[in-house]
Amino acid sequence: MDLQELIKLLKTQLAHLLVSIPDAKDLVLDSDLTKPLDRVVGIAFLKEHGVDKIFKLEPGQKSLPGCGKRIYLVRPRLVTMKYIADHINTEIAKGERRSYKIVMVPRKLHVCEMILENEGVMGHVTIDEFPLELFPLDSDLLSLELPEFFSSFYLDEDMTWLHTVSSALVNLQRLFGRAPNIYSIGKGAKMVHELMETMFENHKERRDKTYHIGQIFIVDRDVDYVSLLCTPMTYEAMLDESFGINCGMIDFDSEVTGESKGTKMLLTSSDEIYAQIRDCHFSQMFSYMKMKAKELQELENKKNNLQSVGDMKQFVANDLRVLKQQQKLLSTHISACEAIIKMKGKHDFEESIRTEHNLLECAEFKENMIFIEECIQKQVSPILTLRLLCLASLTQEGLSQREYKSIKTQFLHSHGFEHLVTMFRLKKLGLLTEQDTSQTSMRPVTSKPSALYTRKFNYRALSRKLGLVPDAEAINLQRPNHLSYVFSGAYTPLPCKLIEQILIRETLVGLEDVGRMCGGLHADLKAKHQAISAGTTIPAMKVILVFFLGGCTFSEITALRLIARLHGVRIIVATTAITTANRFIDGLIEKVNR
Amino acid sequence: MDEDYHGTGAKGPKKKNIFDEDVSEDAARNMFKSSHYEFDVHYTADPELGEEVVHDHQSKSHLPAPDLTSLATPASRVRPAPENKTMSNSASFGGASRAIEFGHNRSQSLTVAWNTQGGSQFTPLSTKNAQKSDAMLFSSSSSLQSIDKDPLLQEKKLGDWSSPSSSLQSVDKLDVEKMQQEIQSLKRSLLSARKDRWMKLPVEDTLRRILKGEVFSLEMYKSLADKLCLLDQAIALHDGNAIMTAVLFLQRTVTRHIFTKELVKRPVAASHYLTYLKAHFEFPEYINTLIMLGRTEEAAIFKYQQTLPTADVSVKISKLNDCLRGHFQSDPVLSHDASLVQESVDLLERQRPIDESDANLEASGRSALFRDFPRKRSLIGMPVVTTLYYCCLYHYDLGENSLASPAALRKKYQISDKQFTRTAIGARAKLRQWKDIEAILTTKGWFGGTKLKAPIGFDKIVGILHKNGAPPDILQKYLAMVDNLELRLNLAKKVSCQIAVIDALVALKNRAELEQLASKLDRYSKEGLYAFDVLNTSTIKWK
Repeated sequence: MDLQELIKLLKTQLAHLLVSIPDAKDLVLDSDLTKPLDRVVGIAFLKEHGVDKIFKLEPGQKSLPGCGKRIYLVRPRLVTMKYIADHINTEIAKGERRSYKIVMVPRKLHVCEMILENEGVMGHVTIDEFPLELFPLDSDLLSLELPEFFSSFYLDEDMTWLHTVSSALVNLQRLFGRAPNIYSIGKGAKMVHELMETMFENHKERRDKTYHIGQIFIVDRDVDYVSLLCTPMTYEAMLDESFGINCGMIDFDSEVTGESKGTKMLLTSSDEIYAQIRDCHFSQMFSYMKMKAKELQELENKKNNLQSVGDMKQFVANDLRVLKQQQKLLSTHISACEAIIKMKGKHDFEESIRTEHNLLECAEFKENMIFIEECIQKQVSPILTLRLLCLASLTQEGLSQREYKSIKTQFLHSHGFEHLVTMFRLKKLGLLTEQDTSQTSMRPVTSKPSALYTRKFNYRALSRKLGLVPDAEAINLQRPNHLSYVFSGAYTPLPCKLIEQILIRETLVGLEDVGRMCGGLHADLKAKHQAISAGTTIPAMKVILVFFLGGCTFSEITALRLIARLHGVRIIVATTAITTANRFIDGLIEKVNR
Repeated sequence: MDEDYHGTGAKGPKKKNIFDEDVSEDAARNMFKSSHYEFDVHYTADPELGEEVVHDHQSKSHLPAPDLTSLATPASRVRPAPENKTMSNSASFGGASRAIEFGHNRSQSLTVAWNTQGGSQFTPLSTKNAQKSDAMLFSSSSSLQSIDKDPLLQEKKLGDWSSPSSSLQSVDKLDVEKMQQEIQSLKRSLLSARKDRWMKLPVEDTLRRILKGEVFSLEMYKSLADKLCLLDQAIALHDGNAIMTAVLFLQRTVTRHIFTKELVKRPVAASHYLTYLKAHFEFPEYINTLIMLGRTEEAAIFKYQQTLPTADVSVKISKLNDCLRGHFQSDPVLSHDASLVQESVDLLERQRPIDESDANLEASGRSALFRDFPRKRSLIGMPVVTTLYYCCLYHYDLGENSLASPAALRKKYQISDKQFTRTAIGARAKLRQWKDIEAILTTKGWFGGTKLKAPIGFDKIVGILHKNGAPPDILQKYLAMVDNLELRLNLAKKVSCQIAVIDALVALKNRAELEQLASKLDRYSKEGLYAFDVLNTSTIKWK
């Protein structure tokens, strides 16, 4: 099963869209589609298919120059439709003649067509879709690159993107065979599963019973916000947190490269050194890199012992190139590590980690709150402060009313009153809440944010039941044997732990309580699932797809890779987007221009 | 016939693809005719079929296009030209129609794609042209290529097509039969489709069409029961697009009273309606809907959020006051938020005159303070703590009844001791006003005496002073107040205050380390002399 098939499929689909308009044409892109498009097809591909100029769609553009044929490749948003309609109307008024095609990614929405109709441009445009759904970022990683899924689904309770997730899963299974066993963890996951079934009912064409993916896990993000908020401790996750990995690409600034300009790097398993170190705990990085440097040194020493011309030729032809390449990669990774350490040194990293670990263990609550208050008073980054605050609230299952009020007031005093909005969002998601007391329960029920998703997180009970906070002694950071190594043994990402449990048990029996506390645990099993136990007859059952609704972090991906290694299965991670604690919180913060 | 097509293709005003929106019926008909006599027969047998093909073009998915594909293929296959063979090979109609079932009913021509890729776009070569006109009829799916590569399907296709060159004839027969069957079923479905256009389609069917992105019509759902059924089933489906469509249809076709009544009963529908209102910038209606749903807190917060981008201070203040009166003060649940919004109004009212007069003072150049420490930006809109810092920096000595007085701010916003200490010391240290710092930390003792006391701990004070570049003697003074000796030692090392390090080592009675340190110090520097002096003192009991 090769995930690159997806790229081929997308390329063909895009080629069709582009050549459906003959001759040269201009392409107008939504800014958040450029990266994915670059990753999937590349600019050259667009040029090969008759794209002349490429414009970025921006608010405030009245019209655009270019040739007589134009394709808009955009996300289906109302405001985008308005911009496009404005272009068209202005250009028509100017007497320019042009053919327009609007391609919505991944699908068209009724409201968007309605806007185009209202704006009076419907007769001038053709509308199409480009189902850019899941695409591979690595050999075991798929993404929709749809970060807005989170706020849309969890904050606004809008189900528009559920369709995209279901459809992506359906199309994936059309390509690789229908997976017999589906598990869904959480409410949203169940909806995705149901919608997926409906979609399958609507196309009953494939009788084919072969499949390449045996089991699918659909996981709701709101099952576990704690692991989202924990500080990453493994290399890939730290890179993402420190520099930001976008569509598998990372931008190192000049500080890291040591040259005048920064460098872009593609981070995938095809980089041999990266594949080795990305899942390493940070404390183990340097010993690995030392070893690797020694290896490279040995290889370099080889050149002094070359006996014959033939040897020399061999060396120059093969080893030298590899050597040079690897040396360069290694030095980049080493400088990246140094840069990370430097960044961590800038604030009280040690102390904030200690606080985080204490919070997870539900220990030293008073000291933890003092540290958080201090962060607020020092006006350190609101992101770090909110991260710890949310962790405090989640692990305590809500702050006491007095504490909540005092912290909220202080935070607003330190960072601005606009964070009234931030605080509301965090409350609505259940990330930062007041404990229910008699006073709050006297509120009319309706005045609470609609009870669709807001639910109680049962951190303590779940943590106890699943052993999420392990005995620190038992953790081996060098040869990881426990999923919690991704957070230095402080916490086990709940979704990963639950998936591991289900894989080992091969049943949900005994997990009923956990399921209830997670917001629902459901299984739809058509095959006897023997992923781990001996005597597995079908190799496809050992291939597992884990889909995270609302994004996952590299820490979680790393933990899943460990499950795969420990239990001899193949795990493919799919997600609506890859996120980090900082990006996640930043997305919830209300910002004003000062 | 190739020439014929060529004529329409090349001499027309533009190069046409049948799938372009503006292709006329005639052109389309020509394209059909030019390549297939066979097809032509069926075509004239049902003249409206062709019309339907062209018309339904925008709707794409339910048009009989797939079957045109099957019609097109044999003709090309019979042709002996080698190119044709390869073409039918790579796009055998079994594959094509399956591809359509595969779910991508996109009407594009695959061959055109290849032509462009090859760079020979619309070359008027007659053989190629013939091929192309076949291809024009392809309603091929974009997933075609990948399907060809899908091993499973490949196998199947090999079954159909094990030796394309030798069994052409028999396959053709099979195809013709297949084709005819499909044409029959097509005709039937077309007839029923035409009838259905004016009949009420079951709600499930309409929703299925919406789910697949096909053309649909809601106008037949006249009764309220139908409209609600549509909405409820859309909700049960979990497809946001369908829910949104059903909600907006309901909103458009029933009175506001009924709409709100039904919306309140369906929170999911309400969420979607709200998303729409927000994305459509219908903010008053958005807020009203929230209130109607009982989500008053959300409404208040949203109203508040609306005031944030306002640049003009007086406009912003009046908007905030409106917001307070309209949303926050009326709701007892929001009393805490109301007090915070009130504070934000007060703060703006306070910042405005301070900022104005300071800006003038700074511009005049008369104040040494503003010359030495120019303001980085306007004070307006800054958080409370930042405002406090600003006032401690520029207006430290003002009396409590002045707007810019730090003490007044402290009182007004009930700023904690810890916060005040931290901020005031930071600001005074920046100005190197060490006396002020001592004053801040001085408290009256029980019996009239005074002593230094730091609510945040002296270690933190040292940190702040060091950050602001305080000299060693000041650091030393406050380091001496740190009770925890280990902490004091580490801190002294961190801020490289040698005298304090020596003191700490003495207090810890750690002679070994002190000797080590002394050996590194310049013998005749102040620190060096101090260190040796201490080491020579006999009264200290070393460990």
